[in-house]
Amino acid sequence: MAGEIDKILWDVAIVGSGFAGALIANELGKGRRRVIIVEAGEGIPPNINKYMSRFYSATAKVPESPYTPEIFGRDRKLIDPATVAAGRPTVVSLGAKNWREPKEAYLIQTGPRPFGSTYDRVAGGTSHWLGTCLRFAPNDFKMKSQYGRFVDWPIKYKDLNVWYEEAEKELGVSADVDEQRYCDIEFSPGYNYQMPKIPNSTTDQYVNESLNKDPLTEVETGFLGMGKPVTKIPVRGVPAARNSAPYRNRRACAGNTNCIPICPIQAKYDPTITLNDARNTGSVTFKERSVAYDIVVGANDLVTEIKYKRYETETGKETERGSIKAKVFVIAANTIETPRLLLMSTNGGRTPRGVANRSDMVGRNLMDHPYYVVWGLSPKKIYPYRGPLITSGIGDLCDGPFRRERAAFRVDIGNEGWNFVVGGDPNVTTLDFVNGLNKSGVNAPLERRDSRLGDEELFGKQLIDRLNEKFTRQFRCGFLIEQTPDRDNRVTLSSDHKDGLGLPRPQISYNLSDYTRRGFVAAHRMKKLLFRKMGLDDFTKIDNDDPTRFEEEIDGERVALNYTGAGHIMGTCRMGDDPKQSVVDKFQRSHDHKNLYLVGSSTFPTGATANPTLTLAALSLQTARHILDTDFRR
Amino acid sequence: MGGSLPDKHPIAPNAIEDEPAGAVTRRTVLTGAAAVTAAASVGTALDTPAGAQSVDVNSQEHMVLFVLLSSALTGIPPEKLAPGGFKLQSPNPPAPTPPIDLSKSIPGFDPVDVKREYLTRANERCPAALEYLLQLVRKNLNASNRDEAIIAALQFDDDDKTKRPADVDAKYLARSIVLMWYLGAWYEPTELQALRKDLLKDPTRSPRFEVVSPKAYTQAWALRVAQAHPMGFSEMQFGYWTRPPNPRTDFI
Repeated sequence: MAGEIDKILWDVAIVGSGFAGALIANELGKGRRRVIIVEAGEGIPPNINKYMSRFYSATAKVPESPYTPEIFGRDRKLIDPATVAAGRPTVVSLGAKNWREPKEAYLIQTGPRPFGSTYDRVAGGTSHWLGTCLRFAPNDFKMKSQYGRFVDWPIKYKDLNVWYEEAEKELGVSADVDEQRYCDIEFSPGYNYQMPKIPNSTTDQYVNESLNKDPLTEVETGFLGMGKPVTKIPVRGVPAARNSAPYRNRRACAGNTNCIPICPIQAKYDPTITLNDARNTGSVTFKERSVAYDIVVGANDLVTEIKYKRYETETGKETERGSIKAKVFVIAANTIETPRLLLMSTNGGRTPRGVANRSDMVGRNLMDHPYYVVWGLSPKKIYPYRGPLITSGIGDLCDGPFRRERAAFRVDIGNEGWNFVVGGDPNVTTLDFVNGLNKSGVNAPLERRDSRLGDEELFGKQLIDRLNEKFTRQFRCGFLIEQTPDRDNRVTLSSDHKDGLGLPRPQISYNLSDYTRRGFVAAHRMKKLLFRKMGLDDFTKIDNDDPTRFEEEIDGERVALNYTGAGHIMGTCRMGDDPKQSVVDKFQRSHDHKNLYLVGSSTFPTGATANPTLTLAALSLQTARHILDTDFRR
Repeated sequence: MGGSLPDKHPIAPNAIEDEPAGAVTRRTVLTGAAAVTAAASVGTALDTPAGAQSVDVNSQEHMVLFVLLSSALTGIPPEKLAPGGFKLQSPNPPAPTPPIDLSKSIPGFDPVDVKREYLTRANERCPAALEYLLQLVRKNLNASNRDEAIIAALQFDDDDKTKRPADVDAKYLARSIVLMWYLGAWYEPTELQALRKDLLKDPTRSPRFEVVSPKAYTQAWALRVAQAHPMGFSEMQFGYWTRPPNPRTDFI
C-alpha cells in the first residue's frame, strides 16, 4: 500500500489530522481534490470504547490519558520518550521533579520556566479539548495599532467573521448571540448559533449572584483599568462545540463532567467527526503511524515531496520509509511539531535554517495562556462535579485601555470542584478523611490547613457527612493570562535527544515577560475581589518547589503566584504581511514556498485570551477556500 | 467460614487479661453498648479459633458478610452496595430481626457485581486481615449497633500498645475497602500506613494506587456522596446541572 500511495501525485498532502488538518481535508475533499493525510499517530478508531476504557483505568486521569501512545510502562514508570516513535508531552511529565528530565519528558525544556501545555498525536489531534468556541475580540487583531503593543494581524475581525460563522457551523456551537456581544464582538445580521446556549451551572449562578448582588464600586474595580466605571462584571455562558440539542447525528450533552479528556457520548465535537466526513467524500486518503521528517524543496522554491517514516508499534522501530508527492502541501502538525518538521528539513544545506524560515522566525514567539488557578470552599453548597467542565466565565475584562500596560485575562469558572487541583479530587479529599491525611487542606481547621496529617479518620455515616459537606462546597476558577509574543520563547531542535525514530525532539525555551506578569497581578486582585464577594475560604496553595512559582509585590504584600499550561499552544509560525518578520501570509501560505501552507494556531501573531480553537478553525476554512480558488483554479 | 478464625490470625491479644480499664464485656456488646466502648470489647467477644479457614469469594455467606462489612465502613446501605435483592434472612420473620441466618441470606444478583471484584481483591492481597474483618462482622452480626461496633473496633492509634499487628493490618485493610467502594481504586493497606509516616518527612509524597477496573471506576461512590456522579459516567440528562440536585438520600 505504501508503494501505491507513493506513486501517486496527490493534489494536496496534509501532515496532521487535528482540527486544522481535518477541516481542510474535508473542504478539499468536497472540492474533489485528491488528498492524502499523513498522521504521526494512530488512525481513527471504529468507536471510542478503548479510549473510554483507558481513561477509566488510568490512575492519572490527565488530558492525555485516553489516547495513545501509552504513558506508563508495565513497570508503572513513565515510558522513556527516546523509545517512542511519535511521542508527546504529558501532564505527568511536567512535575517539579521531571519537567527537565529527558528520560521522562518528551519536550526538552531549557527553561528558565516550564512550558506547561501538552498535545496529542493521534487521528483527530488534540481531541482532549474542552469544546470552548470563543471568538477573538476585534482589538485582539490589532494590538499594535490600538495599544502600541506587539504586532497587528494581517487580517481584521470583520475579515474573519464569515469564517467564524462557517467554523461554528462545522463544529456545531451552542451559545446565545446576544449574550456574546461584548468587547465589540459583533455578528452578521440575523446570525444565530447552531444550538441554544448550554445553561449555567449552580456554581455559575452563585458566582454571578455574589459578584453582582450590589453595584461594584470604583474602589473595588479601579485596578482593572477599564477606562470607565465598572459596576457590574457579568458572568456569561461560554460558547461551546457541545450539543445542547441533537446536532449532526450526535446527541445532547448529558453533563458527564468529562469534556477534558473525553466526552463519553461524543456530545462534544472532535475532529474525528470531520475526518470521517472527509473520508466519506471519497477523495481523502488517510495514512496513520507515519511521521513526516523532511520537506523537500525543488526548483522555484516549490515543495516537491515530504518524506516520512512509518512504524507499526508505539515503541517499535521504523518499519518503512516513503515519500509523498503532491502539488500543494499543508503542514497541520500543531504549534510545536510544525516548526520541528520545518527545522528538520534542511535540504542538504540548501535551506540551512529549515524550510519556510528565511525570516528566522520559525519556532519563535511560542505562546500559551498561562493559567493561574485558584480554589476555595464556599459558605453554601454550590454542587460542583455536575454538568460540563465549564459552562460560564468572565470575558468582559479581556479588552480595555489597560492593555497598554498589562496583559488581559479571562476567567474560567470550573464545574469540577477540586478535580483539577490539590492533586486530583475526589481521590485526595476522600483519602484524607479515610486515612487521616490533609493533602486537601480541609481535614483541619483553616488556620492549620498546611498540617500534613488530618484531624479526622472516619468510617461510615460520619465519612459520608464530611465528604458531602466538603465536596458540595468546592469552588475552582482559573485566569487565562494573555502572553507576550517573545522571540526567545522558542521551539528549536534538541541536538542531544531523539525520539524512537531517531528524529530530534523539540527543545523549548520559555519565560514570562513583565507585561504578562502584570496581568497575573491584576488577576490576583480579581481573585481577591471574587473570593471576598463569594465569602470563600481560600485553599489555594503554591508549593515552594513548584517550578512555575514566582512572587510579586501586590498591594504591600509579597504574593506567590504560579501557572499551569492551558493547552493553548500558539505562535512559532507567525502570520504577517512582511516576509522578513513573519513566516506565512494572511492565507497561512509560506512567504518562501508558494505551494506550502502552515496552518493552525502556530500562525497566530498574538494570543489574546480566547481559547484558540475556533479562530484556528476559521483560518483553516479560509485557507481551504484559498487553496481551491487559487492553487486549483480552473 | 464456620464462625471461627484460623490460629495464625488472632484478633486481639490476651483478650480478657489485658482488657483496658473501662472496657465492656461481650454481653454488653451483644446488648447494644455504645460504639466507642464496644471497640475495646471486640477481643473479648471472639471465640477461640477452631481451625484455619480462608475466605471463599464464591461463598454466598462470605459475600453477605463482606457486604455488611462494607456497608458499616462506607455508611452506604447494603442494598445499594449490592443491588439486585440483597436480603438478610432470619428464622423469625419478619426478617431481618436477629438472629440473622447467614446461610439463608442473599447477597443479591447484581449484574454489575463490583462487590465480587472488591472481595476478590481484598482476599488476594490480604487474606488474613480480610478473615479478621469478616469475623468481626460475624461476631457483631446480631448486635443492634452492628455498624458502630465494627467501626469502633477499627478506630485506634497505631501506637496503641494493646493492639497487635493483626489489629493494625485489619484497620488499614478496612480503609482500603472503603477506598475501593468510594474511588474504585485499590490502595494497599501497607501503603496507607506508610503514607502517614512518609508525609511527615516529604509533603510531596504521592500515594500509589491502581484502579481496580474500568467498571469499578464507574461504580465509585465518592461523587455520588457529593450528589453527583463519577466523572465521565453520568446517568443524568441534559441541563440537570442548572438546578440543585435531588436530596442526598436519592444518591446513597
